[in-house]
Amino acid sequence: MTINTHEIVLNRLSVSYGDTQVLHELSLAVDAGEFVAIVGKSGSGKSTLLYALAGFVKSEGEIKKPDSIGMVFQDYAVYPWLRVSANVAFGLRGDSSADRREIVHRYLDLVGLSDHAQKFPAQLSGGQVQRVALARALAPNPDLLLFDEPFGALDIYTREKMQTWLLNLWQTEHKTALFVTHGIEEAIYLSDRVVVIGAGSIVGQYDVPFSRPRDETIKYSAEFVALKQEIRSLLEGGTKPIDTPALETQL
Amino acid sequence: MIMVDFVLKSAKHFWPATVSVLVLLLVWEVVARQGFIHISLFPPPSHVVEALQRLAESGELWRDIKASLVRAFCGLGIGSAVGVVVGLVTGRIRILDRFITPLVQLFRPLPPVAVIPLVIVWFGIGEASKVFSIAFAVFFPVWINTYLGAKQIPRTYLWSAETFNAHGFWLFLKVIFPGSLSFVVAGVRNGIAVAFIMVFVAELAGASAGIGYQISVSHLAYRVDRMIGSLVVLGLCGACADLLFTKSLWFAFPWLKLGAQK
Repeated sequence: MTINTHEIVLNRLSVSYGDTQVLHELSLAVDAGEFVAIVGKSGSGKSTLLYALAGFVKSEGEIKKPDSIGMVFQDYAVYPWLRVSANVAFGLRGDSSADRREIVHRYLDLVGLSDHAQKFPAQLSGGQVQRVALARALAPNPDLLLFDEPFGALDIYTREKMQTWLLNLWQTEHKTALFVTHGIEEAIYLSDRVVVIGAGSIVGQYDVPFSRPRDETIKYSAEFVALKQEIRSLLEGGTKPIDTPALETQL
Repeated sequence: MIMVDFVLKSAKHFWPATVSVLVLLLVWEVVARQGFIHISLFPPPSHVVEALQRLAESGELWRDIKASLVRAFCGLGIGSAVGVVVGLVTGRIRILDRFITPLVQLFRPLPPVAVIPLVIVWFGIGEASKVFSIAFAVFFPVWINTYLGAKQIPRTYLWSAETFNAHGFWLFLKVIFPGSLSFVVAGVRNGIAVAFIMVFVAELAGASAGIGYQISVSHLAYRVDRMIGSLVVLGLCGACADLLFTKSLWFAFPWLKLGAQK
């Protein structure tokens, strides 16, 4: 197998919580710099896939992943006891204090929160806090970014604003990313590939046919609507696995 | 102008409590002077103030306050420090939880007052026994609150720290301790109240100074005015300690206040 050409390789990955099997022999390969969205119903195992990849839960099977990972959670997981700048600096322990200041300044600038550096998370809006979480995940310059429904707790207006903002940010940073979401539209809009998970297995994969840079107008194109409809039908059609390429074929 | 604003704001905030206290004092003064009960057994507040004034002039009041506060704060400091450390490690490290928590739970139902005679046998009647008794009593509320606080830390806080390679002491210092802090605060505030109860009891069991000692000797001399005055001073010391603790916390950890406002 030529698995070394991929940034991430999951081969026959299984995860169980007690007697309940959440992921069942799931295989997936992701290229360096690729943005992959993972969609699925609640309880389908999409978040567990990220947790297993990050090493938070025990798993069986083969995992190849980069050493440095940044993760953004739905509940932000930004530390309320640290100011915004200290939150962003949290993962920069090895750097000198001058380097730390410069990196924090750069990423706060990037996420548009330079004026809020000395505030506490409780003094920010939900969207701003999520941007702090993203700046914190990006600051140590990880090779892989994992997003666990990062905009799930935001209202629809802020959510759409954050999607466009993330799209632009990814244009600059261009990290390998796995983005778990409930939203099919969000998945297509942001990613290069949409992976559909049902009952712990991959039930479908779709390459997103839109080039970058993108803007919101693609959401109204016939191609976008058709793809969205196709994924929705697959999700609503239950968990019956459809033919997906085996790992060897993907490789 | 700022000062005037502050005074007006404080007056607006505190006037209901001030009115309640003044009405209570007035009723007490009037009832006590009716002579239903002998004035030496149920003295009016004016007599209590006079008694306190005489204790202050003789220097006894300050000596007693100092002795009690030193004991209370030493016991509170030691009991809280041990309670926080043991609470954090038992709350987060499973093996220590399994070994230590059953032991702590075994001692927790004991009334702390009941250990005083044993402590006197071990440490004598000096300061060590009093401080130990207070620390022993303070430990349990601080431990249980910290333990629960350490257990409720959202797993995403810990996972997030894990992605930044935060482990061991660094993780405890930067994530687990601050993540449990609101519970620790609840435990220590409980501990402050317990410390002042224990200071009184420990001084009854043998002391040559302290507010509890003053109440004890005033009781022997049937000086009810002094007893009530000392009780008021003890209560005020406890309330001031709690207020000071809360205000210092908000100064040291301003995010706690933000959390409370949210």
